[in-house]
Order: sequence, then C-alpha cells, then structure tokens
Amino acid sequence: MPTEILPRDPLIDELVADLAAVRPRRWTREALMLGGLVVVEILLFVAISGVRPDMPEAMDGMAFWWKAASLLVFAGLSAAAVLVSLDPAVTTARRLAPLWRALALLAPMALVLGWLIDAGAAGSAVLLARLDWRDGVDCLANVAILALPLVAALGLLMRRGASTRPGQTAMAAGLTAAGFGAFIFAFHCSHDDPLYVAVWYGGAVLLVASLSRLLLPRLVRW
Amino acid sequence: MNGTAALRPLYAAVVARARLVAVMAGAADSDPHGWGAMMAAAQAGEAAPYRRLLAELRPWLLRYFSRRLPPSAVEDAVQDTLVAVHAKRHTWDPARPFGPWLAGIARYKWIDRLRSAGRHAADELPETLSTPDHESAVTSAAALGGLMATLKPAQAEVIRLVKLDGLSIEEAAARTGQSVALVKVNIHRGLGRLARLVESGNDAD
Repeated sequence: MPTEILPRDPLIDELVADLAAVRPRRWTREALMLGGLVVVEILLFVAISGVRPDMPEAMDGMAFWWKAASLLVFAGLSAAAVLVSLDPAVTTARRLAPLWRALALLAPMALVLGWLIDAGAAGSAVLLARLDWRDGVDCLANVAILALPLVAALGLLMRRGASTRPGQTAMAAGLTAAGFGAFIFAFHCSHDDPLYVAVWYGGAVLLVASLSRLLLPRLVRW
Repeated sequence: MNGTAALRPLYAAVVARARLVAVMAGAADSDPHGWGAMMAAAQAGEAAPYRRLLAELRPWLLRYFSRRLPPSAVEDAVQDTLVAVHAKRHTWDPARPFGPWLAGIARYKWIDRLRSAGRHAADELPETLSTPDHESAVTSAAALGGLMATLKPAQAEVIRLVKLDGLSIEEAAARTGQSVALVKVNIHRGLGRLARLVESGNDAD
C-alpha cells in the first residue's frame, strides 16, 4: 500500500502526541458499578437506620410491594436511559424515544395504581394525619441524602461519557438517583399509604431531579 | 474535463449509488473509509493510524460544517470537534459503526456553535447559514469537477478513465499502474464518497 504524505497540522500533532490507550466504555460495566453502589447504600442504610420494625407484616400487604417495585422499575428505566444516552451515536438515532415514553407513562401509572389500592383499603383518616408531615420531611430528606452519592456517581459517568443531550441525560440521572434513593429508603420507612408515598417520595424525586437537571449539565460540558 | 454530455452517465451512476447507500445505510459496508479500524487501533494507543484518521476526518468535518455554519465559524468548529473526538474516543464501541458516532459528535458541536452564535449575535447567522443551491451544483459539470477534486487522486483518476473515457477496468489498471482489484475498490469507494456528498446535500435534519 503506498504511503500518502499527510499534511502537517499543529492541532493533529498535538492530539496524536497526547494519544494514550483507552478502554472503550461498556454500559454493562457502568450498570454493575451503579448496582454495586445501590447495594452498598442498602447495606449501610440498613446497618445505620435499620429495617422497618413491621417488615414481616408489611411484606404480606400489597402496598409495600407496590412501593418497592414501582421505585425499582422506575429507577432501573431511568438508569438505562442515562447509560444509553452517553453514546453520541445513539442520541442522534432517536433510539431513546421508547425509553423516555416508558418513563413518562410509568410515573403516573404508579400513582394511579397506588390510589386504586388506596380506594380499596377504605381509609377514612384525616388528610393531615395521613400526610404526617413530620415523618414526611424526614423521609424527603433521607431520600435526597441517599440519592446524593448516586447523583455524584452518575455525574462521573456523564463526564466520562459523551451525551449529546446533556439536559435530558441529567434529568434521567436525577430520576435514577432519586428512584434508587427512594427504593432504598422504602425498606426503612413504615409508611405504606399511597398518598403519603406519592407526596413525599414524589416530592423528593422531583427535588433531586430538578437539582440534577440544573447542576449536572454545567459540570459535564464537553 | 470533457463536456457536460460525457458527465451524464457519471451523474447517473452517482445518483444510483446514492440510493444504494441510502438503502443499505448502517447495514453492510459499515466501515467504508476504514475509519473504524483506525479508531480501534487508536484506542489501543497506536499513533500512526490515529494521525491518519484525524487527517482524514478534517476534510470531512470541513465539508460538514461549511454546509451548516458561516465561513468564519467553520475552522473553529472543526477544531472543537477534533478535540472532542480525541477526548471522547473511549465512548466509541468498536462493535458499532464509526460514522454515526462521529456524526453525533459533529452534530453536537454544530448545535453548540449555533447556540453560542445565537447568544452573541442573533442576527449574524441567517444570512450565511443557507447552503448553496445543490440542484445546480450537482448537475453542472464544473461543480462535478469540484466534487471529483475532493476525492483522492487515485480514486478520481480511475473514475475519470472508466466512467468518463469508457476504458475497461483492465485498461485503466494498465494505464494507472493500479492492480485490477485496486481499480475496482477505488471506483467503488470514490463513487461511494461522491454519493454521500450528493446525498448529504439534502440532510435537513
């Protein structure tokens, strides 16, 4: 093969001089890392704050499973959206659209399901008592704190990756972190009232997602 | 160059090839320039293929951005994109085609430019953003000559000999000193590149 004379270009010289071997990113590795972090947080949180005292009874009821499973699926879908969006090729191909749609449908569906369970339970307590704002604020703060390490980890992944839609990726990262945070907290929290969960868990998710949407894109510009 | 009449079969061949490329986009022929192979080598730390890749990306990016940005912004956008390709080279998965990855980064950098241009001078862009008229550009012989000039000399030469002067593959091989296989490959790649140029004229995206 004849060697062509390539034009000299200072920028290209610089980039070539800076070349080092890199390991191509693998979404499986990143997913394992996130999963590991969630497991570590669960273990730490259970060790520090403990599981809810009525765990065996709670596991008999539908509400606990509704809460935990919805949050887990929600967080998992968000995480998939983040990891997939970190590849510049994928964001142009509009392959993310089904994921966004699933996410947009899932949140209201989880809430509606919760209210259906609620309606069947014939609860007639006073609204304020159900909301139990003292516990609620504590719950919101706990979810936010549990979400912080995940936001940081996802921020690192975003920095390493190359999302061509940083705003959307940051939003998904916030939803992922808050989703897992709420999922972890669900093992400790003894409130199964869907109204309570919708208001305080939902509030925490919105808070973390908004903060992530505002802050992360600024930190990961490329 | 020969007259316009002689260019008509070439134009037809290019358009046919453009349709083929559009149909097979992403499927077969996923690494037409060998850029994927070069990037895979670069990820392993090999400097020579990497230099070659960047040198080949530069003209591609120049064309990409000169269709989309005012002339004064093109060079900056090209350099930004090369730096981004360098910084994010680990995000390309060697199992996937290279083209969409590159296009994703270029598009991101293009939007970046448009945004910053919008912030700094909102009225500066619309005058120069539009592309020159592709219809006439492609059909006119002079412009086709210009397109041919963007090909590598070895590719342009065999396309000219076989598609315009009507030589056989073997005659062209004898005339240029390229092997028969190489003549075929060069015609294939050259037409492919021309097709992509013609095709990308309509990428309103």
